[in-house]
Amino acid sequence: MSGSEPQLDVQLEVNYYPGCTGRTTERSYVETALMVLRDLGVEAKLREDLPCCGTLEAELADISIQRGLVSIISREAGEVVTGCSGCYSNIIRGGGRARHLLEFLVREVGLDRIRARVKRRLGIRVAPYYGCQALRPATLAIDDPEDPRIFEDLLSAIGAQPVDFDMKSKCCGGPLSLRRPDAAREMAARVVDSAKRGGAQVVATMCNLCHFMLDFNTSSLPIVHFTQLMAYAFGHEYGELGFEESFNPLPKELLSGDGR
Amino acid sequence: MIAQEVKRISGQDVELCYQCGECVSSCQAAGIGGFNPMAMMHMVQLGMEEVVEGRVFETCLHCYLCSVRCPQGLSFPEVATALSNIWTRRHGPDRIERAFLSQIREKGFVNPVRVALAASGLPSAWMLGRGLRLAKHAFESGRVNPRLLQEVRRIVRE
Repeated sequence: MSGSEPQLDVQLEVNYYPGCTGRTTERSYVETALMVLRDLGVEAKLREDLPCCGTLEAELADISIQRGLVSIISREAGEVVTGCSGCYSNIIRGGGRARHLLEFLVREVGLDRIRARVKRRLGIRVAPYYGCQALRPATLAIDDPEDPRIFEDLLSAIGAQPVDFDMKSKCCGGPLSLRRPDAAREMAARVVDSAKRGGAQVVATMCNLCHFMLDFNTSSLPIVHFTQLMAYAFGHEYGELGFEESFNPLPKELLSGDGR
Repeated sequence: MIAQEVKRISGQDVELCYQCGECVSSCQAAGIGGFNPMAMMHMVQLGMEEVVEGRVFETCLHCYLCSVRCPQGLSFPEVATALSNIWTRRHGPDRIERAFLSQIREKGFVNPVRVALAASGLPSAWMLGRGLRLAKHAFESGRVNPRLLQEVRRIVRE
């Protein structure tokens, strides 16, 4: 790191809430999220000591369980930043305070600072897949609940080319993955097909569960966590970012190309 | 009455629904296993027991798209949650809820691999292919603070 790194005027400190899959199948999301936050001068504390947010299933059993678990998180950590849209929604709807990582990066850290940190522009066509939990209900929306732009803005800032696609703010099928696996798989496939028709070379997700659903259930496009793209743009080596942990890894060649 | 019970749990006044169909026409899950949020709202209004007992509410994706389009400001996902809470109060958690709750009680977090195994029984051959690569995660027991885990166990009882 050179001495000319852009510094935040005010040092930011956050409690990073990994989400359950962030401790297991989506660990590379958490690791690259922490890398990116640190690169941008944010001191992020990984809070694996905090319990589960309750998940939709606990809420379906009894909303008081969700409220109870969220109250522990709030008392112990106050506001948390999380890259998991499911946790983000659950914590807010359960009465706690949370910010979505992507929204925090764009609005709190800021696009100027992100642009200033970019060491290599990616030049690939990326489908920004929002999913639903950070957009709706309207009370917790990080952007327009149906036609958001915030993810596109972030991708442009790191030199990637965002593509538009029909399913960008639709559901990945995650909530049905255990109850109706066939229907869930079909929904995940529809998202990736739509991204492909939009001309994307890769699908970037902003939620633990969305990533799992698209990656596990499809095989026609590389699926990445948006933080992996950011970390690569910030100069980290391809091998440090956990791309190979995906079932649909992003080939290194795509990153060195010019988007053709 | 189901409508009152739904309102008490979710704060949603289902009587405001006049069956315009915006929810069902917005719904990605419409038609799956007979799922139709508009019809279910009507069933709640009429107090029809099968809206609880039939468990069709479990097909709701909780994507909340209908909630941002409803001209009456209603939120069907919250109605679905309330119906699910009512069912669970009558019968206890279903197989999938049990799988999640026992994970939360045991370790304070949900190990997705263990939940998938507990909830779906024997995985299909297709699941097994990719699922095998996830097997290593089944042994992750997390780092939830023991003091907080005690508290979690008071909230998520057997």
